[in-house]
Amino acid sequence: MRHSRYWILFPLVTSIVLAETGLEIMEKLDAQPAPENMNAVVTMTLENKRGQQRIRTIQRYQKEYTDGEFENKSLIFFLEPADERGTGFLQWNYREAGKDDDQWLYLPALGREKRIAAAEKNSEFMGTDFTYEDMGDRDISKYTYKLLGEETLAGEACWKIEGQAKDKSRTYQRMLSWISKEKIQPLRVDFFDKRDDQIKVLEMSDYEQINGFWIAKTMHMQNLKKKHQTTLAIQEIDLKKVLNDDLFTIRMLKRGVR
Amino acid sequence: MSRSVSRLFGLILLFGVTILHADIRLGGYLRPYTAVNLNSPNNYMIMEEKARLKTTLSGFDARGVFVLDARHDHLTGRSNWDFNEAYVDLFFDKADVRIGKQQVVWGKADGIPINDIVCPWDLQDFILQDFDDIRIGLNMIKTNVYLPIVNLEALWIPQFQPMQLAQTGPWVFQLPTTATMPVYMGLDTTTMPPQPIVGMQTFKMGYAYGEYPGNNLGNSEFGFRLYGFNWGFDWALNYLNGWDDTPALEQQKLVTTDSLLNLQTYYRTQMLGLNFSRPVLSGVLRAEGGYYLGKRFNQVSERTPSLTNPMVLELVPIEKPYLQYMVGWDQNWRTWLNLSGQYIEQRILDYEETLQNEEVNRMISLLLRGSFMNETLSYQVLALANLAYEDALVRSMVTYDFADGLRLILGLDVLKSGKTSTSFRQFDFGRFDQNDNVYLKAQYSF
Repeated sequence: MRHSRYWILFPLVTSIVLAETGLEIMEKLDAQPAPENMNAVVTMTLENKRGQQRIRTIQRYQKEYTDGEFENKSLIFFLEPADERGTGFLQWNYREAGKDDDQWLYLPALGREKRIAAAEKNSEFMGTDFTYEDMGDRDISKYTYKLLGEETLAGEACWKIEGQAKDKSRTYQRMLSWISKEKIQPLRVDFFDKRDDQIKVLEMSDYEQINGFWIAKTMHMQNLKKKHQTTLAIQEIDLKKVLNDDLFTIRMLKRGVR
Repeated sequence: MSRSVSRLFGLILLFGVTILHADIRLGGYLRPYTAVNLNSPNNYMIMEEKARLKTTLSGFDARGVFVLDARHDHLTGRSNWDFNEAYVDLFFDKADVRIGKQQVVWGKADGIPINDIVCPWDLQDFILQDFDDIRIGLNMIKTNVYLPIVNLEALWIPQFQPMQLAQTGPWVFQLPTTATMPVYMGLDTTTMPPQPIVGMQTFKMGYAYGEYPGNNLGNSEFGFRLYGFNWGFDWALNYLNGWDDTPALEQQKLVTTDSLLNLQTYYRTQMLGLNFSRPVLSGVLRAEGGYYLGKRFNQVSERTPSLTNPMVLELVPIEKPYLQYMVGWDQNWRTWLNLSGQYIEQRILDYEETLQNEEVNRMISLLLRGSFMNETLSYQVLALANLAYEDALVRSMVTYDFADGLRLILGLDVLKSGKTSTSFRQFDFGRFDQNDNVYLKAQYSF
């Protein structure tokens, strides 16, 4: 099983390409190094069809492992809104193929951590328009890809790649991706369902090179069916500070870090 | 420690940590809460405002947390305030120490205290309070040591604090004020051999505390928890040596010819518990068990009567080993549909028929919850039923996030009666079957 290695806000997996040219592009994407340590404060702005906004701010710590039992570990704390403050989410992602993540949720009102099952990949991530699958590693062998051509998007020359699901049960049956030729990073992804209706649009912008990594500081996901949208904006990011393994423990989940 | 001393202790801690502080954060909420009884004449059951201020001061590998609650009850006209928690954390490389008034939560069971018996419950509103309100914070020292394979928690509670029951209002746990009992009225000498004459007499019942654990080192409580994450299991082994939070009725003394005094006495108990949870398939399996020694149950036994003390029967507490266990399953299907189910069994071991409690009580709980509109609207339905006593509670709640930090909660509590019981039961829904209520809370968090 192969997973992509490029990183935007969260590791977002793209594709494997059957066509030789497409495969080369995706291999370049796959070869993009991910930061080993990340500490970011992210604002998630949720907007419904009436234009009403709700804002959530989270602090996210993530550590990538190059070898060993774990692929990565992450720890998330809600900073805002006030009624969610202190809620924490700890996730251990294993390297072993097929092994489910271990996940714990801490709710201050409950006063203890609670083990939760590996999230339903299609369910929404904390009320946003991103699913857990959108936010995490995706098994790239589940899709085949074809290079459709080249287009200019937001003033940047891009490869346009179509991904087709091999398995009919997948939520996203088809994906169109625009990959920046300069940055080797995606600028936009269109998602299509089983009836080939477009259901979502993901746009990544405000790319900045931080410590040698291209970081999209803004991600905007629009759910066309629900007429709901979510914007993730990085407020602070630190890729330099080495995060200790002890950070990604239930001790810290209960204690809170910030 | 009295409430005023507890407050003073909290203020001293707050002041002490304030002058050392590096970072201060404030948070909390304001929450009006109104509940009305669904049974005629539809009395208001709760009409109150509650404010919580949480202050966190941190720096120098230490942290002070102070949770101050203020409440005004419109029905009684009374206001009060107290520290819900007030503690200082000291953080070391492989250990944490927490000193002060704090809540400790043990176990994997939801809403049923099997291993979670460190902090007594505040039953002023029966079991319908929020989780962080229902536990009474205790002054204690707690330390956690983090070792490579397992972790160890040790706690010491210098002073005993019993469970709080409502003294007035709709949730008052009323012990019987009168009781009709058989009494010895002399010997019938007309028969051979003479037979005792037994008649029925109604007595006024009074209650007083017998021996209450005094403030000394010998009456302090202590506990240990060994816990870890191994082979996919979150597990914990718990031991608590303390006092039973609820008193047993000790004995009956004849005060006058028609009144009896019952003494309520607290007894020392020990609990050994084990709990674990683990994802299985697409759900999470949870289990928890607790074995208790020193727990008392009320027993009705015969006694030798006399004309000066004519009671034919007496109520005495008798020590019996006690076992509670729970098996639960959590299933998350979609954002809008999650299910948690629990089966709980409570069993008095070495049972005798003269005990007032049932030998076995089985409980089931079912929790359905979910959310819609990107978690703006959520619902929860919790059903709890005692199978032996045939009573139940169904709590339904709809929550709407009106705006960031502003939450409206509309709820309905329905209680169903079953067999009546004079013994204290924490989940005695039948006792309050006239308290079905609908409520509205508006919570503004900051």
